[in-house]
Formats: sequence, C-alpha cells, structure tokens
Amino acid sequence: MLIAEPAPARVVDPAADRIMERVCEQLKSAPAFTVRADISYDDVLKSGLKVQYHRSNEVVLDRPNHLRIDSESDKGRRTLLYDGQTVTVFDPDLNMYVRTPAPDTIDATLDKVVDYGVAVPLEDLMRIEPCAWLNEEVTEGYYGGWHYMDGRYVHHLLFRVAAADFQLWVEGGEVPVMRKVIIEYREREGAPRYEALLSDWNLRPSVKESDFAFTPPAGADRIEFRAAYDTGKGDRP
Amino acid sequence: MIVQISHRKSVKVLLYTIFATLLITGPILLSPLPGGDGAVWARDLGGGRAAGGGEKRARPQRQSASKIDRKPRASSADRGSMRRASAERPRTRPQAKPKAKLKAQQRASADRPKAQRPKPDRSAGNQPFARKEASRSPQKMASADRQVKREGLKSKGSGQQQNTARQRSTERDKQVKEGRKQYAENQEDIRKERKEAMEELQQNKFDHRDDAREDRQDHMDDARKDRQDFQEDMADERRDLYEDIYDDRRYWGNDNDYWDDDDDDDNNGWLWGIAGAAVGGLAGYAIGAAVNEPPEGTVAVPVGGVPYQYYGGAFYEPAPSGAGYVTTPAPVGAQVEAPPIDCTVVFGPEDEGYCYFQGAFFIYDDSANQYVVVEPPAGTSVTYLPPGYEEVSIEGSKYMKLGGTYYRPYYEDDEVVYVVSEV
Repeated sequence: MLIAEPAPARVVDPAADRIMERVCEQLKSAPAFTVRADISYDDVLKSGLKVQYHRSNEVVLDRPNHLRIDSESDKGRRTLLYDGQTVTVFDPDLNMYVRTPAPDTIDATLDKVVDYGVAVPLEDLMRIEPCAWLNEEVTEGYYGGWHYMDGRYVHHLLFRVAAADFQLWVEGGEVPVMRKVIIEYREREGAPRYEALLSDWNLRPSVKESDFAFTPPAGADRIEFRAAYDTGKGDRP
Repeated sequence: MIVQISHRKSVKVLLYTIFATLLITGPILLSPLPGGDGAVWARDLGGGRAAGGGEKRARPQRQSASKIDRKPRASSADRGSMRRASAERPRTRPQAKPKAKLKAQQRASADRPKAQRPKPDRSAGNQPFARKEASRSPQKMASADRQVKREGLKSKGSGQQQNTARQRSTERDKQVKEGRKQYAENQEDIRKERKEAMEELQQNKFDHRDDAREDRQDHMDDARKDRQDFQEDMADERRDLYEDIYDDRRYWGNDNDYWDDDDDDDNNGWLWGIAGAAVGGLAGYAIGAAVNEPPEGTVAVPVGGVPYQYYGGAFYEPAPSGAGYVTTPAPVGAQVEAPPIDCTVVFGPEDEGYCYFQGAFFIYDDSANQYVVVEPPAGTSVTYLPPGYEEVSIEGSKYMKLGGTYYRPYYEDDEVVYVVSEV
C-alpha cells in the first residue's frame, strides 16, 4: 500500500540561517566581485574506485550583466566571457571559440551555458539570489560552531537537501565570506563529492569593460555548441 | 699615505658592494607589483601556449596524460550547484554501459576447450557457479537487439567472410557458438560468483560444523563431499583465472595497470594507457611507418584479401616494396578478438557503444564474438583525432578530414569534440 509522504518539514538551526543570510546579503549587495575557486570533484569508476580531479577558476563578476571565468583543468584552459550581449567560450589551446547571443541577465546566461555543458564553478555564487537553495531546497541545517581552517577559526555549517549534503565554512567578521563548500551527492553511486575552496575574495574590485570583451586571436576558428545545433548527424546547422 | 691607500681601497669595496647589490635586487625592485592595476586574473586571451604569431598554429592533442578520465564511470560530481544538487544533471550524451567489455569476451576465445569442460553435477538452484539459462531473458533480448544492429551494419558491406562462414555452419556449430556466447555473457557473473563462492566457502567451514552437529551422519557425508567437490572446483576455477590473466597479458603485452606510468614519454597525447609498451603499434605509431616485422603476438586478420596483422590496436600490412610491414589505418570490416585496450567508449546516434581508437571505430559483434571495425558512424563525437588530418572549410565551417571522413568540431560537455559528419 502506498502512503503519500508529507513534504519534509524544514528543520534548520536559526544560527545557520542567520550566518548564510549575512553571507548572501553581502554577496548580493556587492556591485562587483572577484574570487578564486579551486574545485576538486570525484568520478566514481565502474569498479567503485574514486578518482578526484581538480579545476582552477578565476571569477570576475560585474553586475548586472558582465561575467568572466578563466579556468584550467584536465580538459585544458577555458575563458568564458559575457558582456551583456554575447557569451563566448574560448579554448586558447585549440584556438577555437563558441560565441552566441546571450540573454541580458547573468542568471539567464548561466542557465544557457550550463545547459550547453559548460562547467561553471559553484554557479550559485554568481546568481542574483546566491542563497535561493537555502529556502527552496534545504530540509535540515545545523550550525557546527567554530572550526579551525587555514590559520583561523571559521563557522562550520551543515545542510541537507533531497539528494545531497552540503558543508560550508564561513569566515566571520565584518565581511563574512564563504571559504569552502562541499557538496556530497549522496544519492549517486559511490556518493561523489564536489569541493570548492574559495579564496582571494574581493568585493570591491576595479573592473573595466575590456575585461569582458573578446577579440578572436589570429586564426581562431569559431565553432558551435553542439547542444544548440545538433541535428543528430553532425552535419551543418 | 698608507692610511690614504686603505681609505681608497675601502671606498672601492663599498662601490663594488653597492653595484653587486643593485645587480641582484634591481630586477626585483623594478618588477611590477602583483595585483596592481591590471588584476592578476585578467589573463591575456591570446597568450600562452596558443600564441600563434601568424605562424601555422599547432592543435595539440589534448588528452592530457590521463589514463582514466575517458573510462566509463558509475557516477560523477563534476558539476557543483547547490540549487540544482537534487536535480539530475542533464546529459548531452549517454553514459550508459558500453558494449566494449574488453576482458570478458576476449577470454571466451574460440580455441578454448576449457569453456566446455564438464563440471561436477550441481543443481542450478544451490550452486554459485550455475550457468544462467532461461532466466537471462533481458540480456537475451538485448543481444537480439544488437544482432539487428549488426545486421544493419553488415548490409553496408562489412563482414562478408563471416556470412559465408555462417552459411557453412551446421546445427552443431550453432550450438557450440551459442554455448560460447553464453559463456562469454556469463564471464562477469562467474567472476563475481567466484568471489562470493570463496566467501561462502569460508562461511561454510563454520556453518557445516553447526549443521553437522544437528543433522547427523548422512548430512556430514554430504557436506564433506560437497566441500570436497567445491574445493576441487575452486582450484579449477582459480587455475582458469590465472591462465586467463596470463593469456591477457601475453596478448596485450602489458599489465593493464592504469596507474603504472614508467614509460610516459612515449605515451604523449592520445595514447594514455599501455604501460611499458615497447611495440611500435602501441607507443604512438604513425600511419605509414615501416617496420621489419610486426611485434610478437600479432594476430593475422585478413580483410578483402589483404593479410593484415593486428596487435593492440595497430594494423600492419605487407609493405608495397615486398619487404617488411607498414602500419595502416584500421581496415573497415576487420574482425578482431579484442579491441585496443585504451580505446575510448563513444556512443553513436542510437546510443550504440563503440570502442574508438585512433580514428577507428570498433563495435562488438555478438554472433561472432568479435570486434569489427566499421565506418565512422555519423553523429558520433570523439574527443581527439589522430595526427594526419587535414583542415578544410566548407561553407564557412571548419571540418577535419581524416581518411574519407569529415569531422566537425563542436563544443560539447565542456570541451571541443569532433563529430563524424555527413557532408
């Protein structure tokens, strides 16, 4: 006999909510910011062995509609540039780039590129509501107190959503910022983890229009997102 | 006077010291401050390895040096979003199981009478090694499905030899074939069962003691006999296993150790994987390279009258000069027992799995228990192309032409891929 499960109640330590609200308020009110995100993530092989890979990212965000992410990983180097009108993903090693008209907000542009398979580090940070998940997804939340990390003591927070568990480390003080995030996809085979170390926060950077502009280098080839043009046969769009 | 000289000397020393200090610290003092006006993150777009400078640019084969990042995986956390953490990640391409099971099929090689070795009688219900029969209907259905696909491929003109062979086969041959196929399908289960049986065996030692106490003499006898049979069988199975491993190693000429990396310099780019491979066919061969003779352990693979030799992914054909061999692109229609061990699993437009290696697509043929080289299937994306392609522009779009096949570069799953195109 099937019994409909009631929607899970949200049980969150008010201290955890308070800290996250402060962090996100800070982030939202910053007209621009830069941050470095060192990502590590697991792949689980068929044998059950876990493999951890790394990806480095430098993020520059300028509200309302400019974004730049320089990254490097096993798949090579990438630069994502969004200037409010177009979004470009450039692979400097192969000298190829994708360029497509973009929506006029960072949120909508993120939706678009993420759907096209571009890896964006911890996209929540860049959204207009960086803590949307806190109210929409979280079912449990705990405040773990102060824990040592990298030479200082920081707030340690635990959250649970339907299919994953989060751990967050938040540095307190006048400008509270996230230092580290772990997402453990506990429903996936082998419970792989995504970890982000966040450093070099700057909530008052000096940015200029040219930081987000793209001029194709000599000989660069323009290609397309396959998801946008795929006809199933790989032929012309 | 003496005082004056020493004074002059000390002035000299002082000057030299200042000069030397400036020489050392100058570059440091004069260098731009980090994080100054141009922020550290604002990297030069054109710079670095890609800098063209008007010269012919290189397109490096990126496959880094990873030997595992293209292997099929059970799961991944490669994207991080707290907002979407509970949503399934949309997949541009399937990650399902490939048809390229390297070891299992390979081990069921045709010339192995062991496959039909009679086993001590065990009723299927109780015995961990029981071959699965009628209960495997889902797999059977799946294999029938593949059969249809294979037929489709064949009609494009790939395995004529196989067709004639099949016409000749008698009812008895069919049964043997069926048996081998079953054997191949069961290999993985058997391996698992071996392990379970091993554990069970340990368990039995204790269980039987208790059982015997309760159930008296006849049961004791049974148990002892069972155990004896069981142990003999375990020995047999283990022997098989070792032989198989030995065969595998001999066949591949390597230990199949993904982490062992002592021969890396030859292993650049697209070839991540064969540890210690010393043979031309494995360590970065170039199509057209001449060798006196193919490496030891090659298999004769005749295709359309050409006596190709095959070893670990490389095909050799007799050199036109008549002396020696040259490496050659994989001939469509070639059937081999095992595909290159370091192939990448890729999926065709109907989600059929291929083993891709150096521009060649291998597909597993159930009925022949062989891997067959087929025409590159349109719509399939690969992450690298072997050297030797030509860049062409068609109606403003870039294509890479390799052999007779056009590949179109696209951006997919956070990297540039090359999609087999119908131009």
